[in-house]
Amino acid sequence: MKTKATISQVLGGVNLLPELLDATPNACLFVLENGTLQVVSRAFGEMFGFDPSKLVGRTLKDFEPEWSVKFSDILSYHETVTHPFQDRDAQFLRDVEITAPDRTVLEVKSNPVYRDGAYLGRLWVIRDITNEREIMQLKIRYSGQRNADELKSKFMTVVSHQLRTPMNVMRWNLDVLLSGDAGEIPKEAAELLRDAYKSLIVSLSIIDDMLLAVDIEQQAFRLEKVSVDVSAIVGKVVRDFSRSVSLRRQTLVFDPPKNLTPLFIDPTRMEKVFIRLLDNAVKYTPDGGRVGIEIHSTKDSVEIEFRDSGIGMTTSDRERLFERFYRSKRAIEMNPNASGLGLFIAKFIVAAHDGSLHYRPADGGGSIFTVSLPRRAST
Amino acid sequence: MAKTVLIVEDEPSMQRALKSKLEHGGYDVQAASDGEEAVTILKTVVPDLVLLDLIMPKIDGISVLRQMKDDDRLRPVPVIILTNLSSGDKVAEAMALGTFDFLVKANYSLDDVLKKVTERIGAP
Repeated sequence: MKTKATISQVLGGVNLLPELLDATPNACLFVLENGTLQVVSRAFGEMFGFDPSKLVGRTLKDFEPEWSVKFSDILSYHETVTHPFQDRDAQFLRDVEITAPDRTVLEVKSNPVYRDGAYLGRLWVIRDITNEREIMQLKIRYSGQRNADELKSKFMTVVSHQLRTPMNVMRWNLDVLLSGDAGEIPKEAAELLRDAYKSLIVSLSIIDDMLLAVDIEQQAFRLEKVSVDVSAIVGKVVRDFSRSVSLRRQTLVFDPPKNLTPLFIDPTRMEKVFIRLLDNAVKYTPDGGRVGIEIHSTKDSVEIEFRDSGIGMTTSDRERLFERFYRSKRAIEMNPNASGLGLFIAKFIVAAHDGSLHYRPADGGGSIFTVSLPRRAST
Repeated sequence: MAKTVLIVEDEPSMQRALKSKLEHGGYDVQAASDGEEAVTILKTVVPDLVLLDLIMPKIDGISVLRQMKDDDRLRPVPVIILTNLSSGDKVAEAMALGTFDFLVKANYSLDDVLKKVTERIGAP
């Protein structure tokens, strides 16, 4: 019982093979047993830059010098053309990828052709896979990048959590020592312990920044909003900084406005924003300088402005100010040990409240950072 | 008689620091190093407040909390959960059990802890 019909039978005996081959986007070359190029498709001519009609009837040996130079190297040509042709009984069904001189990547399949068990010759079908290959490489690169980012985030989380516990043990034990609960300690020793304590707090806050940055990256960042007086939060932050400001002989000015409408915000997160902005203002303002905070209420928003008479920003710094890990040259000179995450996190937290954080230079030098929070967030 | 605080904290050094601070603050302090020890103490003592770590060996903080909520004597005792940032899911579970006071250990000094205890149950 016949199960298969030949192309010729399907087409009612009409020989449409050359037309069919020309209609495919793949390049086809059929070479007879004696080496004569019997069928050369249109796509073959386009792919290698030949006129197909002038190739039919020539021999593979004769064509070799012209065709082989299209391959990236002569070895590729022999592996793809000469060897399969010479080894006529071998099934050459594997894919061969070659790089033509114009860096086109081709997939080559070659099969021997038989009729009634007799060998007729060999067919090559060649497909341009340049675009597919580029897409595949992009996918690999993208997936590698994504894996690297995930690994980096996981590493930061693990390291941060593992560091937190022992550092907190140190913190609470230093708390006990410094409070005198474990007995009197000499004044000089207490000074040294206080320095150690301060460094520990700085390290813990860097770890907090790292964890927060990972949360932001992994979109695990959440707000817990309540109705709150924003000037009370600023007031608390100002009080917390009073000691470091007086040590630097700086002037810190804050006049809380009266009757400010409460805003519906996350007070813990927003306090961290204010701490970062005030910390930067104090840190990058020389001893004896001035730092001021003003709160303005407009129809649509409440604006909290942090002004300082510090080192300011260059034009190029301003463009990159809020990038993760970015630190200006002058900031590094004044304070080499900082994460470069503070402003990135601050901007993100403010944006998560549908607000904005902007920088502008202050007249006469220094910086002004403005946090703008929408009043529609008020209750 | 001074008010009693039960500290349930498996890290010995942190437990010692907390105990020292609260005792100097005038409170009577009982301490347990894991949930099992806490449950044993709670069979005979009804503290005025429990400072409870969540992640501990043997019986964890959530199980202790659950047993307290199932016990009429212990149900009204206020609990302040001691957490670190890695225990977010457990915090959510503790909230579901009706606990509203949390303290992220690394963010608080011992003075802050003492202040929080006093705010909750008053001076010793």
